[in-house]
Amino acid sequence: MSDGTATARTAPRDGDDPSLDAVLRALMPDLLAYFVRRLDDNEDSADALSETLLVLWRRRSALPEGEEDRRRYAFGVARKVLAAARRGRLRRRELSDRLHLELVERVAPPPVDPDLRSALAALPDRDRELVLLVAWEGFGVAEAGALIGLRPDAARARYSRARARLRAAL
Amino acid sequence: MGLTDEELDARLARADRAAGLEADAGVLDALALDLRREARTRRRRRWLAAVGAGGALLLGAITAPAAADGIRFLAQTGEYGTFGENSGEQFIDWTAPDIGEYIATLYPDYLVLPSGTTRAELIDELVSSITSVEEPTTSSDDLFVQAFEQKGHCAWIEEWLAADDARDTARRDVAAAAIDPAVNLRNTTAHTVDPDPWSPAVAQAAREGDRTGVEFGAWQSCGAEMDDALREEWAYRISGVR
Repeated sequence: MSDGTATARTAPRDGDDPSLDAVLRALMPDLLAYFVRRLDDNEDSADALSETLLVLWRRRSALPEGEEDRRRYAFGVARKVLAAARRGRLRRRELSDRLHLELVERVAPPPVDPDLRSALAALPDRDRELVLLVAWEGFGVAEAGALIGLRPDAARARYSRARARLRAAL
Repeated sequence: MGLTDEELDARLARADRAAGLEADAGVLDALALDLRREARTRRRRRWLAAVGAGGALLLGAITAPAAADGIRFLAQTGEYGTFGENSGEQFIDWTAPDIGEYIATLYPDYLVLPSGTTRAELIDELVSSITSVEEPTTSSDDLFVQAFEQKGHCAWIEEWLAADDARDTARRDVAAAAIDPAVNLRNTTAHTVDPDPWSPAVAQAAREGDRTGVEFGAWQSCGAEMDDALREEWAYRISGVR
């Protein structure tokens, strides 16, 4: 039938930029912590980090210049990878092998605070993520809101309401 | 009585499983190096042939994103072709975890399918063939649209042959009309650099009740078996070339 199809290709030259390695390397600890906090399985965290880094590498030309903007962009990708990991859609990557071992040795089991766990679980998904992005990842409320698609005023209102619910439940 | 803000912050901090996590720098450095190696691995792939269409693959150049990077699917690389049939087409990462969801969005709504073949079936088939690919692979998003078109086209060819077996001319006429490339092969036709003489000829054979011509279409586009002598004879009749 036709000869007309499209296909695979070579990588762009800017992939040779050594500063890209440094940029991605600098993002690794925060991204790894993000996955460790949200995925029970350490191997999943390692795979999720690898997946995120691969996506960032492929989208290197879209990475923002500023450090903070870049971090927000990276977490935007990480959130999507997290959703895929929770659906069990991540591939097991050889790339992550060494990190698997590293995490098994270093990451402790989750601290036992069943009341906090229940109170967090009772929050709507976006509210919970908003609270945790601020508490654990150190984002400002507006920044965290932008990551999950909320305008600053809406983020502040939800954040305040979510914390009030947590305080009351605990 | 509820907690104070400070007490809540303290509880949240104590529940942080990654607090104090410091992965070995050497391990992360190694990951960064391996990342480059894995991300740079690209392979050309004659994949469309495997899902039902013969076709030469064209190596295209790529460039930076043509538009702001609005991330909807991880499968979208944000890189666009700048050459030949890939021009303006975004490259898609086959190994992304949401490749299935992304492919489903590319299903062309204009596809007409015979009774008994469903949109969901075609999507499932295509997604299965993609998600079984392990090695890093990218292709333009047009490739998936064309694969859907191909599957719809082949469904009609099968329908025509089944109607012919059943001597049901009315059903065969309906199938013949749908085998016309203008019905289901719009993207393929629009993006073909070299005109394809076979699809119109197969469509004409279907209209004229020429079973050998339709079997040729099934062989060429859908991977069906066909007697060599019959195939060559029909191709010679159409093209005048042996």
